[in-house]
Amino acid sequence: MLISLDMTGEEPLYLQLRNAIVLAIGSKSLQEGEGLPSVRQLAEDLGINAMTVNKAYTLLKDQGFIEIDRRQGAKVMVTREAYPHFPERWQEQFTLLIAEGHARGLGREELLEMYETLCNNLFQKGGTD
Amino acid sequence: MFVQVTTILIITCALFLSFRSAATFRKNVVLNVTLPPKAQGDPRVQKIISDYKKSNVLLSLVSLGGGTVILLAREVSILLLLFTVWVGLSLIGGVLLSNVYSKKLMRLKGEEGWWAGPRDVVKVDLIVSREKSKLPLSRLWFIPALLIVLGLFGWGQPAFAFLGLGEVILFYLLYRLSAREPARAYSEDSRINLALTRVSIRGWTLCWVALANGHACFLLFLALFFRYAQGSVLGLASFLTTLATLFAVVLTGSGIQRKQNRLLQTSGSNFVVDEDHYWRGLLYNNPHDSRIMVPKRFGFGMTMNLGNKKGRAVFYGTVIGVGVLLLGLFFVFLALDTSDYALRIAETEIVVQAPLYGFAFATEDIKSVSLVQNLPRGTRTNGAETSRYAIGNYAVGGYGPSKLYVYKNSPPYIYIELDNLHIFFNAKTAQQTRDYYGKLQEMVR
Repeated sequence: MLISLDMTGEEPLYLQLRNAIVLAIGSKSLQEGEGLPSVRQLAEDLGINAMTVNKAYTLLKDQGFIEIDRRQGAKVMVTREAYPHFPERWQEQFTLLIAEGHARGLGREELLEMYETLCNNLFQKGGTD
Repeated sequence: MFVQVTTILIITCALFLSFRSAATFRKNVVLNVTLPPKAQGDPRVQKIISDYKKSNVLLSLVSLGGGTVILLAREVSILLLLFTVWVGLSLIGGVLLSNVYSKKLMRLKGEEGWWAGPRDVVKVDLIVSREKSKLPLSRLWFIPALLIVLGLFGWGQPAFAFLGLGEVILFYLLYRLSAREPARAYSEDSRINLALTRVSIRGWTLCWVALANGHACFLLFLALFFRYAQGSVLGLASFLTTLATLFAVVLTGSGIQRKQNRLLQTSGSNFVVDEDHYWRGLLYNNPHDSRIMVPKRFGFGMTMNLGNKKGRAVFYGTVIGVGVLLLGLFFVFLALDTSDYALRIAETEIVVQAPLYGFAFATEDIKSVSLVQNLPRGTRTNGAETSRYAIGNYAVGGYGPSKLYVYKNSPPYIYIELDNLHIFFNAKTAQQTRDYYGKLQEMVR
């Protein structure tokens, strides 16, 4: 399970980290209940500030992807209750992405085909669905 | 002479091996240049590598030839100076040579567009990062070494004990550094990444634990069997330990590299992270990386990250510290090598004027003064000795604790007996020595 951070990219590092972990959970590369590295450990390995990792973990917790236990550290635990904005927020973002694609000239068929391919790629990565 | 010749040979070999390791692929890096797998077998790349290997052999021979100059030194200060200059030149030569071929390869890489992976991207394996703390050998393995050191303290061997304690601390720091090796990813496959990191962390922590215990045991052995060891025996012992330690480190490093390369070959989904733009020769400067130390790309060990404040501080601190130490040693030895011993004889007090080991005593404490032709044999407890002079505190056979201020090849020697202390003294010429002797005799009478 890899995390790539683009150190000179436009997107803030904590958001890149949050997205990478959501990608891992969504593709089942990280299973429910599986542990994440400690904040200090991951910061040391990525060579970034511990506050950045902490920010990403807190965001993941607030959005209901992980659970943070004082003793055992962070582990994957997807809960709907923790994030009551689902699916409305997610639908908004999804709609925005479709609109962006359509504005750039992708038709309905192409969009559906692309959706199909992307789903296949994602679920293949984790091996199971 | 034996020690000088062996040291020169060992340093030449170490530099040769260290710079030669630049010609071996290590995680897709050769000659300090990252290449994608498709480029690694290219005949032009291979040509540059084999040319570099040949030049490195040549450089080592030149360096060895230059090293013979050191053997001409008769004084310790000159020896130290020549030695420092020689090591410095050999090192700079090696760096410059590797840079020449590195640039050639970099030019070829640029022409062919062999850029490997995106720049400024850090790839970390989440699983490795999580499991890493379980990989190092337990730190409890330092306990035997620590117990031996404590035993030496309890047994009343403070010299061995302090040395041992210093070594255990040093190896423990190296252990900590190795245990915290970053969880960088080299393959899409987490199992491969984990295996790569395990090989390295296991290997290095085992190496430091073994060295800490080995050194402690060796000190215990020395303390048991050489309680009254002569300086020369201890010198040889520390020389051999240094040699064995270097050997262990080189062996561990090359073993790990071999295993990692084999692992990378079995995995099909490797990728390359191109960090070339952070490296200038042996120096690493990456402001996006908060690590203070990073593994070198060739040779063995770590180097500082000049991209952050702490790394810069440690780097320049070390450079300045070593410089000051060498300069200080040079001046100390220069003082010892060039100064004349003199006696200032007054009514009540006699002063031996000599660098570092000057000494004064009351005239009335003198029990006897005589002139001897042969210097009795002694062992140094705290002093400096070369083939030309001996100065400081010695245990002289048949006499006991003594202070020596002698030029070895210009007898006779004045022997002064005090309460529980013996002094041997002479000047550079026999005539001067006889003059002092005459004055001393007058005083005593």
